Amino acid sequence: MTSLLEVRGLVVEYPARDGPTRAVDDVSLDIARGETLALVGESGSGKSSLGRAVLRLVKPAAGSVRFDGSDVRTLSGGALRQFRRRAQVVFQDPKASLDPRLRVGDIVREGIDIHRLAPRADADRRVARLLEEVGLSAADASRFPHAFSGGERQRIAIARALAVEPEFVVLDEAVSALDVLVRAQVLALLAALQAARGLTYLFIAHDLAVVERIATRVAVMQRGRVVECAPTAALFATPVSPAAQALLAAIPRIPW
Amino acid sequence: MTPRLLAVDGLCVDAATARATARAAAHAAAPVPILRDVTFAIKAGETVGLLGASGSGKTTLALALLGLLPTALTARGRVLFDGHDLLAAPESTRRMLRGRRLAMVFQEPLTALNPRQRVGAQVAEVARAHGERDAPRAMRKALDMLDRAGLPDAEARARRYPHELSGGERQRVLLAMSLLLDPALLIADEPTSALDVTVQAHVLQHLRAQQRERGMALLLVSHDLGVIATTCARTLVMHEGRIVEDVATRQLLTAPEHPCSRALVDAVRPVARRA
Repeated sequence: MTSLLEVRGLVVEYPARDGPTRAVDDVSLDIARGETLALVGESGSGKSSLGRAVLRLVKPAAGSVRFDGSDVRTLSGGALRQFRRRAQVVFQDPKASLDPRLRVGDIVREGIDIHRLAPRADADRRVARLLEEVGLSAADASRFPHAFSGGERQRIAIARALAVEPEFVVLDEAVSALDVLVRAQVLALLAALQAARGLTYLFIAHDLAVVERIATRVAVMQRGRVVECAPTAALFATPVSPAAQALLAAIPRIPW
Repeated sequence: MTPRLLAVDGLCVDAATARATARAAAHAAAPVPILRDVTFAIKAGETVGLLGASGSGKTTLALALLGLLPTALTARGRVLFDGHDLLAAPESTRRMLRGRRLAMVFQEPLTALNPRQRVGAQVAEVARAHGERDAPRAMRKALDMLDRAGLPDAEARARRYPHELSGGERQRVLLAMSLLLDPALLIADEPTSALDVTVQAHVLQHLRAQQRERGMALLLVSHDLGVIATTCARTLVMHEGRIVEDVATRQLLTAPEHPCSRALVDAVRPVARRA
């Protein structure tokens, strides 16, 4: 299997009063085409910083990120635009990530227009199809985000990410704010979309119970480092690092 | 037989005015939950979970029990607590009961705490509002309670403001406030939903310990059966403003009856156990 994403020695630092704080500390990992790599860890362990650095939304202090063979840090012009199209993101809070003053149709089609992926009339049809693909209706295009529930808003964010035909999607706590029933529906949707489109996911979550359902492999982060990385079943059966063991122990143990 | 501490009989909550109704209609995706004929009881020392999807009416029920409903909503029916009908009792009676006999932990500690007051003082204020005249003694009680709620280094953290604490620490401050007067019933509304799993585990552990130690009754509101199943002996399942199932938690896990209960149970069933 070929790696779509190769991260080597990645370091992300943020300025602080007493010297820079290291959020990601020498992380190396690969994500194969079509797989879901889950990134788990406590709040503050560096998961989101890693996700953002991979997308070139924050600038790493050191290390490299290669996407489909090319170094993400040195991309510019047309190559950077292509990368922006091919790698997408869905954030945790759709209330904050959807512009409240844009209609849903405009939110979803913005990327199509920017990347000139379809002429005007086609774009409308494409938006309608996307909304239906994520379980909404074509008529929802004319409504505003506030008219939707949390789960529906997350579907809009997913439709927006998929509108530009990406290959790779970072899902940054994309289901964490949803209640358990809606969460199960959105996870099923993500799995179906992955199968239909051959997508590769970086699935960031603090909750291992969610990860068990969707991930091919799991990387556990602690204080900026990846302390364990294993296939999902293996990690759940025999967690090696104390961090992974602590995360597993934190899952409420239901007395079935 | 243990006497009933709380008896809710035919509780209905309606959107009161035409304006409120119109607003509810405009927010079709997030309707104002309305309770329909809710009846259940909680005995002293009992742990009861209130399980339901978002929008099913869980929080409205919790607020109705405390007499804290927004003015646009009106409640009918009976809520008997400690021999008082909370819906009919004057506000002065409810205020006397709240905190002292009936306490609440809210979901979002950052909005439940005063951003401009140190957290220790906020906990001490509970004691002072209920008759503790001696300020140092109120503060000592507050520090002791913060410590028992699991706040590490309570004395130093008590001098901080809410924004200087983590989400888990803030939730422990709320827990300390609610437990300070040794209530007979604690209502905890999604107390850990905003926390990450490791912190959630710690907060729940302290909540369970305090419940056992005090023999306090607990109504734990959550959409997550995992949280309820590890804490509550009995579970009420809510769906569209009604209680659709009221059973022992163990029975709910093995034989959920209502389709809505089945969906909530399936949502937390481990992968390997799913049929």
